[in-house]
Amino acid sequence: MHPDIWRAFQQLHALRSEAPPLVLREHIEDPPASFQQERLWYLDQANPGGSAYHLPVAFRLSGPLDWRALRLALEALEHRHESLRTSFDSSRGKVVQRVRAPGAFVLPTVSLRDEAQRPEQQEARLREALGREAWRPFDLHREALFRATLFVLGAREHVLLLNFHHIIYDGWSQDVLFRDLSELYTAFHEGGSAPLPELDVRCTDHALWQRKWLQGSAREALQAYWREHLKERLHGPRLASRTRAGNVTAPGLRELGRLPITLSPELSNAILQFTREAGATVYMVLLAAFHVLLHRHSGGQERHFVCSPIANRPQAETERLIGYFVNLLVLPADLRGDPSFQQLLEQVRGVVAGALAHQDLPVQLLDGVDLGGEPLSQALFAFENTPRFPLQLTKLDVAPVELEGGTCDFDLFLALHEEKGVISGTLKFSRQRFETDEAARLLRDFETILSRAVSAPGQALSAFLPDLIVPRADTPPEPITPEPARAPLPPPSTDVLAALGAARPEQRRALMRDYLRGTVIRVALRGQTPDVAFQSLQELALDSLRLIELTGRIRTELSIDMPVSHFFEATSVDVLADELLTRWLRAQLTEPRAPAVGGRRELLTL
Amino acid sequence: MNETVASYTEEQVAQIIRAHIDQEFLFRTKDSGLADDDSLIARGVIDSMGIFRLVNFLEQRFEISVSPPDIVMENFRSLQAIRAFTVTRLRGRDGQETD
Repeated sequence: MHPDIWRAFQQLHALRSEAPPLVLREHIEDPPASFQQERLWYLDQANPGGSAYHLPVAFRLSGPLDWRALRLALEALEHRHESLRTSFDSSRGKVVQRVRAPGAFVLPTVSLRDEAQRPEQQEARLREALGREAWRPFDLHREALFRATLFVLGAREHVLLLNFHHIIYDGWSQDVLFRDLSELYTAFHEGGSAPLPELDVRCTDHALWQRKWLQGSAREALQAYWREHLKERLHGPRLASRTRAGNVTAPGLRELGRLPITLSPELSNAILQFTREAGATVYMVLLAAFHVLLHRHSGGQERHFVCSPIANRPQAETERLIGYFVNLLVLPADLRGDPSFQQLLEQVRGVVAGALAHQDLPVQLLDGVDLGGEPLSQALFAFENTPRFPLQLTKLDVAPVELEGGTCDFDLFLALHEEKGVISGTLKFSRQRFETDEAARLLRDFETILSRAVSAPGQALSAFLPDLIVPRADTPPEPITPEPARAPLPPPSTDVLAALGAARPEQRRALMRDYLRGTVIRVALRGQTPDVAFQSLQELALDSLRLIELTGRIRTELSIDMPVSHFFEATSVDVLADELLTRWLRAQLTEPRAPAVGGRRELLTL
Repeated sequence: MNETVASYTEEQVAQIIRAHIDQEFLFRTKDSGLADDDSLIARGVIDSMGIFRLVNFLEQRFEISVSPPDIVMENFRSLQAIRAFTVTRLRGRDGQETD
C-alpha cells in the first residue's frame, strides 16, 4: 500500500485519540439519537413508512428445524442488542432513542403448506408473502424496528425472513447478526443457555459519545478538512437514460432494480495483481473504474462526485454491535484533460486516503459544501474485501433467498466484494431512472473499462469506451460555477424552543424568522447563502430528500405538527415563519407542554 | 521465543493475534493456513480499514498504546511483524510500570 494510505491511518488514529473514552452508562435519560440516526428520522418524518430504508434478508432452511431453539436464539439476540429493542421519538425538540426492556420474543409463523398445491404455486405464494412482509412499513415511533417471520413450506422446509429498519442496522451489523444467531441457535439446540459474553457498550452509549466528541474543536477540524477538499461546487453525474425522471422523485416512489455482476476469475486476478503493483487498494481501483463509467455515460462530464458508505466503527467495542453507524464519504473526481487510468487512480488514492482519515464527520454536518441543492445519493459505490460471515444453523442447509421489490433513495448503487479471488456484487438502480437493459449495459461497460485499465493503465481514458453516451437534451448540463460565495454559518438552532418560550411576545416573530432562515441555510443549502433574497422553499429548487430533511427537522425542533404541503405552499419563508409561530402559540395554549410529533401521525401525511 | 513479557509469553501473543485474524478477517475458527511471514496485505487478508481494526484490537486486548508513527507497513506486513511490534510495546509498557 502506498505511503498516503498509511499516513491516512496515522491521521485517523491521531484524530480519534483526542476523543473522550467510550463508556457504558448505567442509565441515560432520553438518550439522543446518533447524527446518522437523526438524519434517517427526519427523512422518515416527511415520508412515514417508506420502504427505502428497509434491510430485509431471507433464508431457506432445509432440514430438521428446531423451532424452540430458533425462537430462543432470536429472543437472546434481542436481549443482547439494545438496538433491536429501540424505537425513536422527539422530545424537547431533539430526536431521542426509546429502549424497551427485554421481553419474550414472539416469532410469527405463516403456513404456506398445502398438499394439493404444485411446487410452482407454493413458490409464487412464498414470493408474494415475502414481498409483502419485507416492505411492510415500520413505525419508527412505537414499533420494534426488527421483525422476524417464519414461513412454513413443509415439515423440513422453511423460509426465515429477518427485517430491519436501517436506523438500527447496517451492512456491518449483518456479520454480527449472523455470527451471534449461528452461535445462539447451536447453543439452544444443544440444550445450553446463551453462550455469548456481555457486550461492553450499547448503541446509546455510542450516540452519547458521538455527540460529546463531535462538538467544538474535533468537529471544526473535520469540517475544515471537508470544506477545503470539497470547495469546488459538486455535481452528481448526469447519467444518460431513456427514462429521465431526474432526482425529483420522492424516495418512496423509486422502485429498486437489481442486477448481479461477477467478474471472471482471470479479470479478478488481473485486478488484484494490478492493485498490488500500483500501491493502491482494490477499493480504489474499482472506484476509479466506476468514475470512468459515470464519466462516459454522462456524455463526458468531467467533474462529478460519488458517495461511498464506510462502516465507521470507531472502537473495537462497537464492532460487536448491531446498529447504524455507517457514514457516507463524498468522493469527487476530476477527469479534465483526458487523463490515463493510472493518473486517475493516483487522484482517487489521494481523495480516498483523505476521506478515510476524516471519515468521522456525519454527512449532515458537512457545512459550506456546495452541492447546488443536489442529493448526496445519486451514485453510490461500495467495496468490501472481508468475507461475509455465513449464517450457519446446526443440521440445517441454509441458502439465501433473493428478495424482490422495494424502493431506494438513489439512482445507482454499485456494491462489490471480493471473496476467494473473485470480484462480484450487485448493481442496484432506480427503475424510474434506468431500464433493465440500460443497467445491464452499465455493467458490461464497467467490465470493459476494468479490462482496459489493467492492460493499458497508461492510455488516455477517452480510448476506453469509444462511444460517449450522451444524456438527452432535456437535461442541459449545468455550467460548472467556479468558487461560490460563502457566508459564515448561522449558529445551530436547537435551542429555539427555549428561546421562544423565554422571549417577549413582540420578539417572537423575529426569532422565528431568524430560526427559519438559519435552518434553511444550514440544513437545506448546506451553509450556502443564496445570492437572491429569500424566496419560498419551492423556488429554492431543492431536491426532495433535502426538503424532507428540512421539514422533518423543523417539525421536530419546534415540536409542531404541520403538513409538509404547507411548507411548500407558503409564498415566502417569512409567511412560513408566521404560520409556524401561530401553530406554536396555539400548541402552548392548548397544552402546557408541547406534544411530541410522534403522537399524531395522521397529520403528517403529505 | 518463550520469554514472558507483561504476563504473556511470546507464544501466547502470537496465538492471540493469529486467532483474532483467523476469526475476524478470515471468518474461520480453525487454522487458516496463513504462514507467519505471509504478507497480510499482498494476500488481501487485510485491506485499508482492516489495519485500523487491528490497531484497535491490539490496544484493547494487550492494553498497549499504539501511536500514529507505529502505524506503518513494517509493523503490520505479516503475523510475525505484528507479533514483534506487540511484544516491543508490551516490553515498553512493563518498563514504564517498573520505573
